[in-house]
Amino acid sequence: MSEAECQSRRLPTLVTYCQRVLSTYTDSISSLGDDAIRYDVIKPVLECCSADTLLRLEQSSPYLENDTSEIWQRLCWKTFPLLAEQYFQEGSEAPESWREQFFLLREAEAERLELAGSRLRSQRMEAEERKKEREVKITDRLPPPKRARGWGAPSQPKTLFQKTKNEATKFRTSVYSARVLPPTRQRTLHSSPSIKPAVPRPSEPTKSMVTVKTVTYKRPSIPPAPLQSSGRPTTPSVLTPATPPKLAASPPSARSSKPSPIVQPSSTGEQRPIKPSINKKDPMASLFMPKHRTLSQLPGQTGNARIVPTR
Amino acid sequence: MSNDVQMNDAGAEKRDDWVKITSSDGYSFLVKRSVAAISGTLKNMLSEDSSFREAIANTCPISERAAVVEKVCEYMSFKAYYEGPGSKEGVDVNEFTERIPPEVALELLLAADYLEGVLDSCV
Repeated sequence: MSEAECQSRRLPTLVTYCQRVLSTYTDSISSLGDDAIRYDVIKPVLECCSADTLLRLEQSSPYLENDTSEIWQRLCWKTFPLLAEQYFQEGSEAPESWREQFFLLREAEAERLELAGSRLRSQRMEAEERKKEREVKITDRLPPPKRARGWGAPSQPKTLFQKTKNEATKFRTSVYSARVLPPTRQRTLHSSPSIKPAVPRPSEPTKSMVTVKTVTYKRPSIPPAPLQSSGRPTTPSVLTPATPPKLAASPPSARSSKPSPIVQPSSTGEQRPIKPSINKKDPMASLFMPKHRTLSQLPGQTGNARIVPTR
Repeated sequence: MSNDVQMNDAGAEKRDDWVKITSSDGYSFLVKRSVAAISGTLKNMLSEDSSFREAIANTCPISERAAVVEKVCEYMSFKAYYEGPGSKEGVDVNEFTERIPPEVALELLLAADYLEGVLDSCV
């Protein structure tokens, strides 16, 4: 008999087995049937239910509600530890219906989440907007032109692209614009204006580019100056209509010293002899003649208020 | 069960005979009396000492459908085997749980509650 006792205690009852199986599949339980079940029989199963399942079972078998308060209480504490703590510390007594309490807490939680979510969303959108403002945009409209020379260095002049453009423009203006020749080569001076209008104009589409600097004014330091200076007082205005602001600066500066890079350098006297010879033969050939030095390398070049292309 | 040892021969024969357990939808299950006695309720119903109709006919109707009754018989056999002198080793918990399909579990729970009665305690 004692053996049987031991063994019967070892073997779980059929009720226990069923309770175990039901607890595993609580969400699949649609209802507890028409007949009333003793609470203590179904209790272990209910304790394993989720809140929604418990609610559903209670709705189908209302007699359960009498005994499920403790289950709801446990659910409250388990699901909403923080909010329940808060609520508890406020000093209020245990609510009449823990079931009600549970759903109140659930709503509060959902609200909190929604609030945090919307805050996050707005922050993210603000950050994205800020990023968009900074990114490169493609447009076919030109940005506002840069101010005329004399307003200080343009913003970010030193980007590689900008530098290249500067140099290319200088190079082009130097090649295409008139050569200031020594006084012995006056003929070329006459021809050069004709070159200038033809060539620079098509190559300088934008209004911001400096086109022709037909400046023939030479610095007083250069001996051959007087001839040209007297001969071309009006060329700057005629040949450089595209850049009035810059030209406005040039005549006064021309009088002072150096309107164009070509004209200025005093030490380029030795360079001159090469160019006049080419111009004599074929004016157009000078277009393709590379300069002896790049403009930026010419002495006395730095510090000039150069017209900067503002693309 | 020690009482059985003292039973007379007629009783000893009866002890080992078969009893019929019927379900509400017409199925019948034959089990040994000793197995049926696992359930206190059934045991009482089939007891020769009582004058229940069931005892005379050795038939015990259960108002559950066959699937449920079958599982009840299965459990009773299972328990009878493990509680008999045959096996001494422990039983794995899942041994029987996996034999219970979830669809039947709820009804089986109710039936088991009704039938087991004093199953927990020694009979």
